[in-house]
Parts: sequence; C-alpha cells; structure tokens
Amino acid sequence: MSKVNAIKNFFYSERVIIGFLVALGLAVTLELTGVYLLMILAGGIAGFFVKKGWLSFFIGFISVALAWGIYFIVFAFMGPLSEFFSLIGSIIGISGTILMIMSIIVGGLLGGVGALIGAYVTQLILGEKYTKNSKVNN
Amino acid sequence: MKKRLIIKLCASIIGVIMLSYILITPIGILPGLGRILSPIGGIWNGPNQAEYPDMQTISGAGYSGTVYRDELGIPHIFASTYKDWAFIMGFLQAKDRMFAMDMQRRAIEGRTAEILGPDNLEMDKFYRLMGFARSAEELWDKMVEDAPSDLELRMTIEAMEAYCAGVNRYIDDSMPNDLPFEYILLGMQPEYWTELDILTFVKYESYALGFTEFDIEMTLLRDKMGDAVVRELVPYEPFPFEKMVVPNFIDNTSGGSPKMKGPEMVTSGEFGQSSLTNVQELCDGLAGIASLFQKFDAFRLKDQLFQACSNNWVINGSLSYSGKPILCNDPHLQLLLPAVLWEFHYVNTSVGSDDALYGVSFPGTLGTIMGHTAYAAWGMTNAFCDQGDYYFEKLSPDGTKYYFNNTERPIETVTEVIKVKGQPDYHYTIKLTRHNWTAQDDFQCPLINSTEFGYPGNINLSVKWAGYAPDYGVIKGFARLSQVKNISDFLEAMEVYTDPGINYVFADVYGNIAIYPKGKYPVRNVTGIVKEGRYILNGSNGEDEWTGYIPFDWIPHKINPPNQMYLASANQRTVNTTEYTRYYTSYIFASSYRSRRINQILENESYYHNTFGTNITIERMKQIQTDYYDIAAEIFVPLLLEAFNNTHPAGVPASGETELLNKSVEALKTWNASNARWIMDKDLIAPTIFDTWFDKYKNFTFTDEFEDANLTLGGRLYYQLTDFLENITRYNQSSRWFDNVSTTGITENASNIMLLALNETIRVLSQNYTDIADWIWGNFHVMDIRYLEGLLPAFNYPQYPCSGSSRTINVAGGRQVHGGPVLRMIVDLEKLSTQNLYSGYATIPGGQSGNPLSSHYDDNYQYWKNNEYHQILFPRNISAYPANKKCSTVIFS
Repeated sequence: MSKVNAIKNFFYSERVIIGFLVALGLAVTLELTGVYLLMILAGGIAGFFVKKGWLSFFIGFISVALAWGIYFIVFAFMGPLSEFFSLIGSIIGISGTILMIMSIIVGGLLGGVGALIGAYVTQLILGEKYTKNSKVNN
Repeated sequence: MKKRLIIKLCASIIGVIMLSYILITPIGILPGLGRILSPIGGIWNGPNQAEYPDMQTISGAGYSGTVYRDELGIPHIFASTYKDWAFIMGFLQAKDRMFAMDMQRRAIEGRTAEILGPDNLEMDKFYRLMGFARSAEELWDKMVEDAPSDLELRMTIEAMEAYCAGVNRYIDDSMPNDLPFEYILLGMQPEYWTELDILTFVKYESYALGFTEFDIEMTLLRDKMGDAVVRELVPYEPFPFEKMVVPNFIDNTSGGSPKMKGPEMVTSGEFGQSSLTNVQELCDGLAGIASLFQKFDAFRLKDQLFQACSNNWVINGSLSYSGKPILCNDPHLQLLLPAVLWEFHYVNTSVGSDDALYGVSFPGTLGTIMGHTAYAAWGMTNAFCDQGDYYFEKLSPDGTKYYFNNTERPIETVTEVIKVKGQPDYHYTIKLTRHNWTAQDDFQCPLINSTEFGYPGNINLSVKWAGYAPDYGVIKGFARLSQVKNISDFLEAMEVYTDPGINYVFADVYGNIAIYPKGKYPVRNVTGIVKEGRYILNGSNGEDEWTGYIPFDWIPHKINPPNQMYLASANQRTVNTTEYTRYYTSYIFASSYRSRRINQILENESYYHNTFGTNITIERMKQIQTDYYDIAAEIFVPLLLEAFNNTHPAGVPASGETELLNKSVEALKTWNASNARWIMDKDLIAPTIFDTWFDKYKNFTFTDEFEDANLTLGGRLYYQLTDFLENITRYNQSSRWFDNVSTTGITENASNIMLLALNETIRVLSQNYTDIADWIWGNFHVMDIRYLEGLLPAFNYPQYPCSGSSRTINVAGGRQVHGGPVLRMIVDLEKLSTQNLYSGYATIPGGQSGNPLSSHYDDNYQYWKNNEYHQILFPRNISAYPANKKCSTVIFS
C-alpha cells in the first residue's frame, strides 16, 4: 500500500473519525467542570476507538488540543483576550500567545497520554489481532 | 507479545502520572501549571469576566431588588427593604472587588503568611498583636448582647448579616471555576465573609485614621532637648497664620455651638504632662518600637495620611450661585488599585418612602462613608484627635505581672495560631494589660516588647487606643448619616458617632451648614489637672490614666456661623487653643497650607460676593478642588529671592554651577511674575527648584541640632516642623535654629541657610539633569498608583508626570505619589432641592471593577487624572432611571 493510501486509510477510518469526534465532544464537555485532568479520560476514549498506540496518541492529542482551542476562540469573542495576553505576559514573563499555545499543548498531551492508555487497555482486553484488522481497505 | 503490551501500558501510566505531577505541583506561590492553563477555571477567567453581562438574574436568595449599572459601572440599587439593599451591596461589591477584599482581610487579620509564606510572618504577628480581629470579636459580642433591647442595633445586625449573605452568594456562585483570575494565579480560594470581617475592617480603618502616633518621637525629643524645645517646635497653641477647623470659637456661644453645658474643669489651658519623666534608659527600646510601627502597613498608611490628609468645605446659600449650599469633599488616602472606594446609589422603593442615598463605601463593609441623601450631604476629613497613648509598663521580675495604680496585676495572655505556607503553624502568645480607670475603658491593651521584634532595650509599652473599646457608635453613626434629612438628624448622628475622630461637614436643602470634629477625645485627669497625651505615659502609678471623654456638647463645632459664609477643614488644628482651654484635644495636626489655601480662596470669594455680588458656581468648586497653588511657595520664595538679592545684588559671576544658580533664581523670579505664580505645574521648572529647596532648607535648619543631640527622628517629624519653620523664617530670622551648631566663629541666620539650601538644591538637581530646561517638575514628580501595594505590578497604572505637592489642595505629596484624593465629590443642594436627575459631581482614581481587564477598571480614573468629573446620577425612583443608562441589569428575586 502506498503512503498516500496509508494516510487515507488512517483519516477515513471510521474508528479514527468516531474516536476523534467522541473525544472532542467529551473534552469540550468535561472541561466545563474545570477539572483539567479529565482530559485524560477524553483521550482514553479516543484510544479505545483508535486502538493503535501512537495513532491513538495523535488522535487524543488533536482532539483535546482542538477542544481547548475552541474555548480560546470563544474567549476571543467574550472578552479582551489580546489585552489579557500582554497583561499575563508581563506577570509571568511569557507572552500570552505562547501561553495559549502551551495551554493547547498541555491539553493535547493529557489527551495523548490518555489515548495511549486507552489504546493499550483496549488491546489487552480485545487482543492485538482485532486491532490489526481494523485497517480499511479500498 | 502480551508482555510487551503490558510494558507499554505501564509506561503510558507512568507517563500520565508524571505529567499529572508536573501539572499539579505549585510553582512558588503560583498553583500548578495545569490549573493556570486550563481554559475553564484557569487564568483565562480574567478576560471572560471582564465586562458585566447585559442581564443577570440572581434568584433564590430570599432578597429582591433591581440594579442598573450606568456607563461607568456604578450600580443604582432599587430595593424595598434595608436588608435587600444590604444583600445587594454585598453581592455587587464581591462581584467587583472580591480578591482585593479578601487580601485586605488577610492583611489586617494577620493571615498573609498562610498564602505568601514565612516572609510575611512578622507582619502577621504585628497585626495579631495590634488585635483588630480580637477587638472586633469583643465588639460583635457586645452588639449581640445589646441587640434585644435596641431596635436600631438589631436592624444594623440584620443588615450586616444580609450583606455577608450577599458576598457569600457571590462566592457560592463563583466556586470553583468562575473565581476572579487572581485567585487562580495565587492558588487561593475565598472564605465566606462574616460580620467579624466587617467589624475588623472598621476597627482597622478607625485605627489607621484615629491613632495619632507621634508620642514616641515627642518623648525622644523631650529626653534629648527638653520639654521647652518640644513646645517650641510643636506648640499646643496655634501659629498666627493658622486657620482653625472651628473658626471664631469664643464669640460663637449662640447658635448652639458650643452649648457649654459640660462639667466645670479645674484647668485653664495649663495642661499637665506625663508623670514619666526620665526615659533616657528607655530610648533604644522606644526607637525600636517606633521603627516597628513604621515598618508595617497601618503605619505606612499613616505616613500617607500625614503627607496627604483630606479636604472638605461647605458654603452656605448666600455665597452659592443658587441660594442653596454646596458641599465639597476630597478625602486623601493611599492611591491603590482597585480603587479604595466604591460608588453606589440606592433608592428605597417601598410605598411612601422617599429614602435615597448616593455614597461611597470601603468594599468589604456596608457603611456609607461620604455621600448624600435626598435632603442632605456630608463629607469628612481626619480630625487628628488624640485617641491613643502608649503606657510604659513596669513588670514584676518574672514578667508575669504589671503594676497598675501601684498595684500588681497579672498580665493576660492569648495564644493565636498563625498558619505559615510550607511550615508548621506558628503559635504566638500575645500579652495584654488593662488601663481601666473607668468602666468604659475596660478593654485589653496589647503589650509590645521591643526585644521580641529584635530591637534593643527590653522595653514594654502598652498601646491604649479609644477604638479598642467595644463601642458600636461608629456603626450607628454611619447608619444614621445614611438616613440624614436635616440638621437635627445630623446632630443626632454626631452624638452617637464615636471614632475615629473626623471633621464632618454637613449641608441640607433647608440651607443649614455645619462642621463637627467628632470623635472620642480622652480626658486624662486623675490628678485634677487635665494632661496632654503628647508623651509616653506612666502605666504603673495611676496618675496618667484616662478618666473619661470630652462630653459631646463640649466638643468644638460650628453650625451656621454668623460671620462666615463657609466652613472648611483640611486636617488642621481643630480650634484656637488659646480660647478653648477646658479640654485637651490633640497636639499634632497636618501642616496648615491646604487649610490656608482653602480659606484664602473662600475668604476672597466672600469678599467678591460682598463687594461685587458674585457667587460661587459648581465650576468654581471644581477649580478649587483641583487647585495646585502652593501657599508655602507664596510665603517662602519671596523671602528666598530677597535673601539672594541682598547677598548678591548684581547676581553671581556666570560660570559653571553659578550659571545654574543665576538661571534658577531667574526661574523663580519668572514664576513669581507669571500667571502661573505659585502653581506647582508639572511643566514648569520653578516648582522643582522650590520643592527641592524647601526640603533642603528644613534639613539644614534642624538636622544639625538633632544630630548634635544624637537624635534620629526620621522624615515624619520634619514634615510636622514646617509651620514652625515658616514662623521663624517670617518673624525671627535670627532664631538659634538657623545657626549651624557645627560651625564655629559664625552665627548663621535664615538668609544664610536659605542660600546654602539653594546651592545644595542646584547641586542635587544638576546631578539628575545638567540642562536646567530638563528640571521641569514632571520629570521629578510622578503619579504612581499600584495594584494592592505592588502585589502584581502588571496591574499598576502607568506612571505619569503630575502637578501638585503635599501642600496644594489637589494634593500630591512626595516625588513618587502614592497618596491623594480617593474621591472628589461636589454635592449641589440646589439639585437635591429641585429633585434634579443629577445631584452633583464625583470621581474616584480607578473604577468600579477590580478586574484589570475590565473597561471599568480605569474609566473613572480617566476623569480623575484629567481633573474632570462624572455627574452623580440620582433618580428618586426606578421609573425615573434613564433608559440609555441601563448598561447592565441585575435582577434579584
């Protein structure tokens, strides 16, 4: 299979899409509680669907990072985010934009490592064969 | 394969644990990175909560009302009961200022080490020792005890409970994810607000404003230089140029002031002194304790007070443009962010009520400090009444007892637990004495030991302050003021009001004006001779104890003065003490310059009125309140120029530094001849030269004598010597104070010292800028308003060059100005009388919101900074509230 097909396989995989969407929805919802460690759970769900180790990490990362990114987009409409960036930058010594990127990366990492655990637990329970057969052929 | 999978899983789990640990672990005083960065419940709350929502409903609290916020975010509260009003006040203040309220509470209750670490332990110990919280607890117990038989007190308690419920409702609604972002940054959570928190703050403010603190300096000065020198420098009698708060005391026995109904006293102005005379061996310890006080906030606030203080005045209908009085007030405190005061307007919507109130309060409390009702207005300045003393305590050899009236008494102790971040709890045992000569003074006085705080001498001083008494007069007084309708109501409020000592000005729509320096003035009269509270008192022999307070009728005051169309105060001497001889009030006041300038303007206006028929308008009042004219410059600069001309009739040779000297003198002459004469304008050079010179002139006059006597008193006393310096410069230029004791064979006079100070001024200024064109006042004098005393510097306002000085009405003391008018208010009684939609003008140096990202963090400040005002919106009922001012609505149901 060519590399292009492999990528296609990955992105058009139902499991990947479902995993991504469910994790995204969960991340948005669970973040409302303010308990940011719950992002591990959101990532874990992505891992359950995707099942492959590093792909799971990637999907978990993207889902939660996107979820947190959506919050920042909403915030930009709600309040003076740019002023806040410069203010917070002068307090912490890091620019607000970098802080936001850090925030998204931290969210992504939580989702990613959660997804890894989700994927490995799923593999352990359902067996690796099941995981290997999950590719889409076209 | 399965084994590999398990290893991968374990590695992932370890990864999660490590990542979680990194995110949870606090970084210094900051919480973990995860808490900071999380979109919800993290620092991003800052921008999200910056603006008020268009509509908000707070339901289920059992309190109802409607609030409209205007374009400055000032709330207009429409509620039908005082409890509804109090609840809404609590909720809104918390919404605007929760974090600042909380930090302030922690500071004055001695609980900052709990969040900021061991560096703050000493400050916490100081506040625990001073015992504002302890004293508040006693007051609360007394209030609860007396409430069943006192309806007014019961209503006050109910209002306080409703206020706390309002604050706590905000806390409940905000926990855990909607807290102000400062909480997230510092990893804190607010605790519930209680009635004790309100009372502790009341006690603290009362202390900061009402405890005159020069007794230690006076004692040290007397010890080194003698009582006669102390009385020469800081006399009890006024200087000839002073203007008193209560004018023409002696010829005002009519009109109800003073009523002269008090008991006959033995004294006739010859006040006795402390029976503690020889304190030489105590001096190290005394100086140490003075340093201790100077170190902490309460004392720093006092420093600001002495440099800044406050102004208020009122004119009667004859002088006013409208035939009705106008009242002005600009109280001066620390210029802090968020703004120290919080504006509001309240209308009682119950049927038949015409109660309405505009005012300002300290966030965290319910009282309306200054403001007006629908019928009358009041304002305040510090009266500097001497409400506190230090007693030198003689202890038993084992240190467990003290002597009171030559009898042994056990020292009381209380152990307080101070939580310290990252360390075990600190158990702090505080020692207390009682100086209860009369039953009304049966309260604890904290005992300060100099060595406990690391100072030499092992001196034990008790602090006795009238505010420690469990006396709820201050609360009742403010409650009554907020309902005042006429002069009778005002006098009733004054009668119950206790402390701190405040110069209240008053005006009503019926044309009455009044000034009342009200407080608890202790009388020290055990021996039959009333004693001053100037020096450290003897705590053991009983001769220096308090025997009561000046009776209400005997406190100097003035109502509708027959010979004057105005009344004014600027923390100056209360009354002409050569006329008011029966009681001692205080020995120390603010320097006279602001009060003289206010009197100068209002006397001139009275003259113009009598001669040309002119009147004072609101615009003129704004000009007066923002006036930068420096009376000290008016007095001293001509004398300096005269000294220069006499010494150098043809100027000095123009080369090097002398060229600067010529230019400086020229700048002062130009100032004198210009339209901006004696105006401390930030764009002029002369104010810089004058202000620097004035400081040097004071130092050169007094420092040699003080150093010769081995006396280090610090800048506070120098400030107090300003009036004396003027007196000798104007009337006794060969005073011995001008002679430099370190020179031999020459006797300096005022001219010599003035010119010496001018040379030194030029030397100092040229070190900053070599070109005199750069010596403009704004390059040396900047406004510096900080967020919570610099806790988070990013939230400070940017510094800017500013006009004014510590002597101008529009006060701006020091080179980096941290104190000044925390409110400028002008109330037009004509507008109240005609039920106008607007009642006057006001501005505060900040905004309603404490959120630095809010547009209401500094919108009012922009008016203040430019010496402009917003109109006070004062609709009498909800239907009169203008639709275009409904910028945000909160419904309480």
